[in-house]
Parts: sequence; structure tokens; C-alpha cells
Amino acid sequence: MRQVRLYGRGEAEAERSVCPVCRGDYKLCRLDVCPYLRHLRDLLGRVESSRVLFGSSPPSSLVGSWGYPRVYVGPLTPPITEDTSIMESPELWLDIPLERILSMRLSLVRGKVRADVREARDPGRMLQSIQELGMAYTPTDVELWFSREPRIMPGFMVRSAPWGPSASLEKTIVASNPLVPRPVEKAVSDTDLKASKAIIELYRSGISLSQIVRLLSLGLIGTRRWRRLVPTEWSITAVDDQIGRWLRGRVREKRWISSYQVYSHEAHHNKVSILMLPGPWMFEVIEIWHKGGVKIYRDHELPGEPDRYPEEVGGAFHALRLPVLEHLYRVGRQASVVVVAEVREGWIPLGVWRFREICRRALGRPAGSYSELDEALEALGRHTWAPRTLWERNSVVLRLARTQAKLTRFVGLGKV
Amino acid sequence: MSFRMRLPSADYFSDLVKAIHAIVDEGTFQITSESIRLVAMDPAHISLVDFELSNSAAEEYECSGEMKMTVSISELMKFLKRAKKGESLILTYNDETKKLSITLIDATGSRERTFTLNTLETVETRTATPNLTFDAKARVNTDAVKDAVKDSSLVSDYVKITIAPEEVIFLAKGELGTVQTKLTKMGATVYDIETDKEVWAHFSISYLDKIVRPASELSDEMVMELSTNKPIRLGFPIPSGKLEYLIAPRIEGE
Repeated sequence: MRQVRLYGRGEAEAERSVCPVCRGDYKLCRLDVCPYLRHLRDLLGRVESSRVLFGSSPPSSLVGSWGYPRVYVGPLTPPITEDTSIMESPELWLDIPLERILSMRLSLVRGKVRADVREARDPGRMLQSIQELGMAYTPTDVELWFSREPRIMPGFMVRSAPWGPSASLEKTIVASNPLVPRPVEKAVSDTDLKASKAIIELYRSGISLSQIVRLLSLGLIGTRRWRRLVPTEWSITAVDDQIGRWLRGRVREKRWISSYQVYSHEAHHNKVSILMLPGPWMFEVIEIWHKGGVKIYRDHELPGEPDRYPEEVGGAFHALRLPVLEHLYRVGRQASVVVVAEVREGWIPLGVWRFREICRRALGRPAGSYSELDEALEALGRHTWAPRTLWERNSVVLRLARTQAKLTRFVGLGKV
Repeated sequence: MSFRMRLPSADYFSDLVKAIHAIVDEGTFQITSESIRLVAMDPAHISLVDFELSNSAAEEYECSGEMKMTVSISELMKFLKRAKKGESLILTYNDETKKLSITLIDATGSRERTFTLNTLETVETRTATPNLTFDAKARVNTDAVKDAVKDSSLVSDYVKITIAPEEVIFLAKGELGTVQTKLTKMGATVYDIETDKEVWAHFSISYLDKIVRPASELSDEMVMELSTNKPIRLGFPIPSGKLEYLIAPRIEGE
């Protein structure tokens, strides 16, 4: 599978310096000052005074990118034993307050162990139990033994959701029997199945994105020779991209939609507005940050152009493309699509999932349907926070839709 | 019904298929006793390829009746990529089994490799008949056009092509600046221009590029035909055959 590059320009600039408390300098992130940690102090206090932690992992794991190809890998586990599955289910997070998502994620203690990415196919005892845990799909009890007391060093990342205190692992004991779904077992045991194919098979058998990401990042899928640990952030985008490509291949064979359609949804200081035009598959993301001025990042894919990495938007491009393609696949139609994704003051960097989920939610509601492009643009303009001219002027897909003529206009249709 | 054709160079056929692949991933060849032909539009309906190879290109040519053969061009390309220099090629298609076999034979005839490709269901679709008339025609050097397109891509994603009685001009304008390539008649790059007026239209650079690049392997000269704000026809003369493309214009300011 193609190597995913680290960040788009927008991710590197806008997303990384965004925590209103520490202004992105996580070294300044302190338990006693962070308002988001208020509700967690007792819990974290207990964690910080013990070298052993017993809890139910959602399950969740994290593979860092620092030091690649020798990376830190380990499970994320809160010090509680109840149903923790919501902590790893972004599809449920739009309906709970931002503060709760953050405190939920910050209560996840990260156990870590340094490993060469190639060890995934031939894991030691520790990595093996981490992998075993990663295959589960319901919360699984684990006992983590640390070499010292976990310390608060919350990790914020551009694409993945954050986590809480961390410490080096000495021992991991999976205390309950992990429940592994059949398709997962099948994909993991098939060492001749390419990772890209495995991702599609898992997706089609209804395995959640979070779990597919976990399997890929822990080096549990792919042909034997190529199994390796993949940093979580790269895995997220790789999975969005691979499933998107598969859906795109199907969608491109379908008929065009017959009217202009507009969708929009807003949550957690983020808004996603979508315009679909009758036409061949084209996709464009215009990401607008309204934080101390306006910043715009955009990327597109056009018919006939080879795939390239979205240099500006980065992971959000693939995260937004996936729900759009899922929608078109479901309705059996093809369209040219412009997505305006906006972020406002108040957002804290919790990951790329919110664009994916907000986009899904937007597309789940009936569309505003228009017969003229201008009506549709006006409707889209009513949804976006930014004035219409801002995205209209920047859109390559809109310009193309207005100017590119079809051959059918000049050439008669008939048998050769 | 069956069809069999032997071509002296597998390499050459591979280049031809690559040129078709610029437009479509899947296509239907119409096979008759005179020729094999493929006319196809890309899924976005912006460009079209018209390819024909007559029986005189082949060393052996047998066809027991008219038939249609639909193949995945990308899969066919994978097989043809295995061809080595100096190898000749035999294509055999059987209408009943719906299988296309590709046989590569080395120069001494000591090695023979056969690949069999399952063909696809032919869907009866109406294909565009490329019968357009043009106001201007220019015969130009393929590499010069390839460079002009590449240069234009530095500033824009589309380029204005003008054919005037004395010159051919490529002009791209972008936020960064402009790029202009002027090819003058009676130079080494323009062999001939037939027009009494100036005609122009805008075209997507990605389409121009993906057509001209593979076709430049096949022909040093190309024929550009154009009318103002109408599609452009790009013809690449190949021995015993035809390789032509149409690209729809971008109508700026509409």
C-alpha cells in the first residue's frame, strides 16, 4: 500500500496550534490548570500514584510515529471497569459535549513499549498481547504493569483522538477473553491477503472503521512479509483512502444525479456543507478556519487526473471523501462534489473523525434540491459561515462545472 | 467465430494500447475482416479516442465474421507490459469462449508465452460518431506540443490554443503569471497550416497531457484541427491505421 505522507499544510498550520488553554504547546499542558481535566483529577490522581492499572480497554491502542521505524506502541485503557466502548466510537461523539469527549479520552492511560515496526509479524509476548487486545470488538479487561507511575503528557494529534497519562509498559495481561468477530479472525489469519484487500473485506462485512484502523496499525492485516506497525495517524488516513478508492470505482459506473443537491450539518464548532452537481465524479474540499482571521486550504481530484496526496487539506480530505462516496454508493448515483468544511473558535484538536461524522450526519438528512446551479449556490451560501464568494472563487470544481463543455454537445450520438 | 492477428512488434502494439488507455479503462473493439477499431469516450464525456488498425499492419490476419470484443484496457496493458524488445505478437479471440489470448514470441521463435484474458460483457451503447468539420488544420512536431503543454501546466490547469495562418500559439494564464509558446510556420516545429482565419479555444491541460504523452511515442508529427470554441481533434499518423482524439473545450466566461 502506498505510504501516506504525514500532514497536509492545513493540518500542520491550523490544526496543531489550536488548544485554547495551552495554545498548542503541550509542554505547558498541566493537570492543575487545564479546565478540561477538572472532572478527571480524582481519577488521574489515582492513576498517578500506582504502577498497576486495571481497567476495561474500549478496546483502543495507539502506535506513535515518533522515532519511526522504532515506534511506541501500546493499549489505551481507562482505570475503570464498565462499558467503555463509547471512548473508541467517534460515530457517537457528535451528541455529547466537547468537554466530555475530551475528558473521556484524557482518562485513557497509554501504556507504551518501543518496537521496531517489523516486529509486528513476529511479535514478542508483550506485543502479542497488545495485538490480541486490538482484535477485540467489545471492552476487554486488561492489567497494565508500568515501570513507573504514569505521568500526564496528554497527546493531541491532528487526526486521531487524544489520550491521557502514559508510562512504559513492563507487562500486559489480558484479563478477559477478547471477543473477536469472525471477519477479523479471518483477515488476521490470512497472511496472503493484501492489506488493501483486507481493509475492503472488513469494511464490507460491517467492521467499524476504528477497528480496521486498529488492525492495520498493529500490523495484523496484510501479506506476511509486509505486516508492520503503522502509526495510528497514518492508518486512519490509509483506511479512509482505501475504502474511498474502492467505493469510487463503483460510483464512477453509476448514472449522474439529476438535480443540484445541498446538504449541511454543524457540530462542535465545525460545519460541513456539501454541494453535489450532476456530472462525472469530481471531489473538492475547501477547508476554512475562522480563527483570528480566515485561512483557506483546498484540494481536489478531477476526472482523468492521477491520484496525488492532498498537500493542503491532508487527512481531512480522505475523511470527508469517504462519507460522500458511501452516500453516492448507497443511492447508486454519481456526482461532482464540493465540500466546504469550516472550523470556528472553540474547537480543540480532537481528530479528523469529526469531519467524517458531521459529513455523514449532513448526508443522512434530506437534501435541498435545485434545478439550477445558481439556486444551489445560493442555498449553499446560506449554510456556510464564510461568505459565498470566498469558496466560490476558490473552487476548481465549480469553475470546471461552469466552463468545461461535454463532447456530447458537439458530436452526434449514433452507432459507429 | 474467431479472429487471429499476428503483428511483427509486440512493443508497438503495447504503445498503441497505452495510447487508448489514456482515455478509457474499458473498451469495445469492433473486429471486421478489414480492421480492428475502437471508438470510446471517457466517463466524463470530455474526450474521445478513435483508433483503427487495418489488416495490412498484420503479418497474418484472419477473421471469420464481424464481432465485438470488450476488454479491460488496464488488464490488457498489464499483459502487454511483459513484452520484450524484438518479440512479435499473436492476438486470438474466440467469440464463443469470450477469451482473448495474447501470445508473445521472441525473435528466434524459441520462446512462446501465452496469456489468456477473460473479456467482458459487451453493453450495447451508442457511441459518438466523430464527424466534425474544422476551420483550421496544423501539422506540427509532437515533442514541441508536448513541451508547450508541460510548460503551460506550470501556471494553469487549462491552456488557450490558437491556430493562425502563420503560427500556432499556446497561452496559459494563472495567478502566478503566464506562459506562451509560439510555433511559427516554416520552422522546424510547424510543417503546415491550413486556415484563412485565426481560430482558438481553451482546453484542459490534464487531458492534453495524458493524450500527447503516450502518443508522442508513436508519431513525431501530429495534426491539430480546431474551430473557435469547438472541440479539438488531435491526429497521430500511424502506419496502416488511425489514432485520433477529440477533446471538448472549456468555454471561459460562459
